[in-house]
Amino acid sequence: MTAPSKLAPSVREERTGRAPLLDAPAAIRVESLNVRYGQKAALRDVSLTLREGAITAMVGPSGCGKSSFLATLNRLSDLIPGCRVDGSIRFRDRDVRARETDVLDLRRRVGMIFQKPNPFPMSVRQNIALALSERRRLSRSEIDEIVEHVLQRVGLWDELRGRLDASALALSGGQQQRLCIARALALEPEVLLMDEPCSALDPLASATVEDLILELSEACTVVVVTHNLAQARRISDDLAFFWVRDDAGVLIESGSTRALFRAPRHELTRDYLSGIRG
Amino acid sequence: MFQWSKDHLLLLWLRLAASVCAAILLLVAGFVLLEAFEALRDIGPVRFAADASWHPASEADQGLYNLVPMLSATLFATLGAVLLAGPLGIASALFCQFYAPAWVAQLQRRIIGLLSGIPSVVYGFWGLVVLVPLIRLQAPPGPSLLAGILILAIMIVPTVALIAESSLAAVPEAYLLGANALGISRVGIIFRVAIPAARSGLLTAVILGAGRAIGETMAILMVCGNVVAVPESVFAPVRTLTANIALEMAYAMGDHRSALFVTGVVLLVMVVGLVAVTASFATETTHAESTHG
Amino acid sequence: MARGMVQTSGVSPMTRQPRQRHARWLDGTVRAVVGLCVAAVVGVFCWIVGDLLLVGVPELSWGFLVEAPIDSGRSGGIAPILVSTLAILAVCLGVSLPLGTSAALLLSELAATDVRLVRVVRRSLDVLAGVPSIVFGLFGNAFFCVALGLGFSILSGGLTLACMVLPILIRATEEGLRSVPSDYRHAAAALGITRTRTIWKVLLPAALPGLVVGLVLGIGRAVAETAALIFTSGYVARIPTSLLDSGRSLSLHIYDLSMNVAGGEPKAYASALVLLMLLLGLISMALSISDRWLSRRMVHT
Repeated sequence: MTAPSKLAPSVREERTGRAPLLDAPAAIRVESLNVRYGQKAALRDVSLTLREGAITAMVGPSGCGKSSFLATLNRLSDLIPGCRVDGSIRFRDRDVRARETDVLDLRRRVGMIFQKPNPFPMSVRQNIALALSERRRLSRSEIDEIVEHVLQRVGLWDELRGRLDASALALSGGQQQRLCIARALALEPEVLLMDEPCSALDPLASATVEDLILELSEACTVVVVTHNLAQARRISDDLAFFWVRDDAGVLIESGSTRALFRAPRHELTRDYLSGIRG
Repeated sequence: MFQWSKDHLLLLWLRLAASVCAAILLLVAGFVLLEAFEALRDIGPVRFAADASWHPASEADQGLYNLVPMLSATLFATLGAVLLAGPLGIASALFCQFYAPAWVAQLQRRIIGLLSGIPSVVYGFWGLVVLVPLIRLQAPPGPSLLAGILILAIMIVPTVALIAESSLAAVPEAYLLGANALGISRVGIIFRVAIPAARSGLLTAVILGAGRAIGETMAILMVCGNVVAVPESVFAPVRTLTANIALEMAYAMGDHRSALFVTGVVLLVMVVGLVAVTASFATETTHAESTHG
Repeated sequence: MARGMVQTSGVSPMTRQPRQRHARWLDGTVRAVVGLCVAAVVGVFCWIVGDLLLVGVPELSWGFLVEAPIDSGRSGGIAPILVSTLAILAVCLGVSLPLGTSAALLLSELAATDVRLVRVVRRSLDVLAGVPSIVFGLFGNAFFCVALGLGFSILSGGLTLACMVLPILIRATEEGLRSVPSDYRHAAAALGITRTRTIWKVLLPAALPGLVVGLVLGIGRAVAETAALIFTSGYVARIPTSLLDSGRSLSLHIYDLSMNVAGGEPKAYASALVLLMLLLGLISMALSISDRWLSRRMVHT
């Protein structure tokens, strides 16, 4: 995971003027991960390190197990019937897969944004407050403060300040997705997993969310699955390239986004990133 | 497994509640069997078919316990009702699916839904004051197997129609469009494509209708005349298994009471048998789906 | 237009061959038979409702609803009977609603983890739904009245009905819960919200229409029931003073008036009309809720 220093700054560096330290510690370290659904293997022998403070983009064709990979990181895979996970996943100093791991706490620290915006069928305020008020009793004004803060961070405050009690289902797709991000941010996650967060949105909303991801990376480590190579190039520090081999997803190569686009080690990577394959 | 400690209480409660719900069936079957046991021991299963007639007493030796007249009445009434209601219900389903414009179909579904909501005692009352006098005009005395068949048929039409329609609705649109593209007429599509594809669902509809007819009590009690005899014609008054329980339970003691629980066991066995038959259809179709798709 | 059918009749440009003429004749016959069957069903429905309305309405009055029956019900009203009916219903729902909702939650939310229990519960509910009401009556008499010593009482009747309506209640509630998009469950899990809270705050509110439909159908079944009550709640036509008192339900009153009371027919008509209106009202409510709900769901997806 060392990038040659002679390369020009990445697009992300140019846009934000910042980049994670090259020797940043690992936020999540995955080793020899295997995921199976019943008899069918979804991921085979994946090892990958996600750097603290970096935006890691995961790219590859449909069905190569990117989403399955993401779901193992916050144990959402527990909810999928017949899903079996093997291998080691460490989030900082904890073993994610251990029996005694507090899954609820893990999921509050490792937030997730889904492809399709999924706000609850309740008001904007309640959407944000639902998870917040579970752990500790918060006063109405404390909640309002957090609601305002997170909505401001996702750039929804000015649009929604008068409509906090309106149903979240009445918002546009882009607004819904940003509300979902705000809802996750209210828990102050350390890692944010995003499963194609822009693919269900129109180009304009997609651009807004993309900018938002860049801003978020100041506060937390971001992993984003995307089909959009241009987007991966624009926003990510690191890139992980998945492929389907023998009916199962495998990780072909990973490294800094710059390096992979400029000098991929693997022929498949080169073909995919230049648009010949995939 | 379920590792979220905070949810343990919830999980415990849900499992407990669901187990209680499942246990009710055991409790029902268990208690009915338990109460029937006395009669089965004292009277013996053979006499329920071999005795000269049904003249129960509180002691086994003094009474006669032949259930065959009641059993035959139940079977004839059910058979007649199914023969009438089967075609009517399936026709109603075909009408909604293939003939009626959307709003008419919706109206018809409403009427079927309301028909299913009329309580059996109201059907029985209507049969008693309207149907029975009409039959009396033709062939006295009026309360008869025929009255029972007609009332039961009306009562189970909704059951048949609702299930038949949902199974017809489940026939893939592609089959119908494909048949249309081949220029097959509407009748051809209905009889060669839709009905064969929905076959097991239609059969389930009829069988569940039969189950409902076997178990029906109040309406049949009010229109059938309740004479214990194997019916010689459709105009003869009869007493079904269910009516037998309803009529005598109030004053039955000892072996007589227990014999009525035996009647309950017979009903339970018949109905559970029918449910088992339909359940085997259900597994058949899911297997078919999983192998094809 | 009815589903899957391309309208072609009358505009066929093809020359008519005998075979086609035969098909057309067949089509017309089948259409006529189907139409006749539907007309018969609709006709009987109108006959029943019309007859009850025609004869029953003149017997109805405010007094009928608030007076006690006089002379075995030949005159007077049905007030105590309505009270008993409500009391039986309250006992029935008080027990079956929490139990049924919980069981439905298990069936829909824990189907993946509690595979065996779910299968057992589902099978036994399927069978329970088919058990004749008179057998429930036998069971209620043997278990609640005799074994538990509750006697002929509102409590015995209500509990017997609770056992009976559980399958209906659970099926509708489960359907309601299953129609809640799994997006909500994933979103809640990803936010680290407990299942308990997810169920209370997200799933149950979202499944409310299904719950209401189940509730209404359950009420309908319980109010309509007669056979299961004859030997459990009993016949007494006074206003009950406790849950251990015997109480006569409206449906049982109709049965008694028409079968055991000579000259009780006019009041039986009136009582049947009250019961019918009550039930048709309930069923219409359930149907329109589920219709509106279905159409709303279609708009959403």
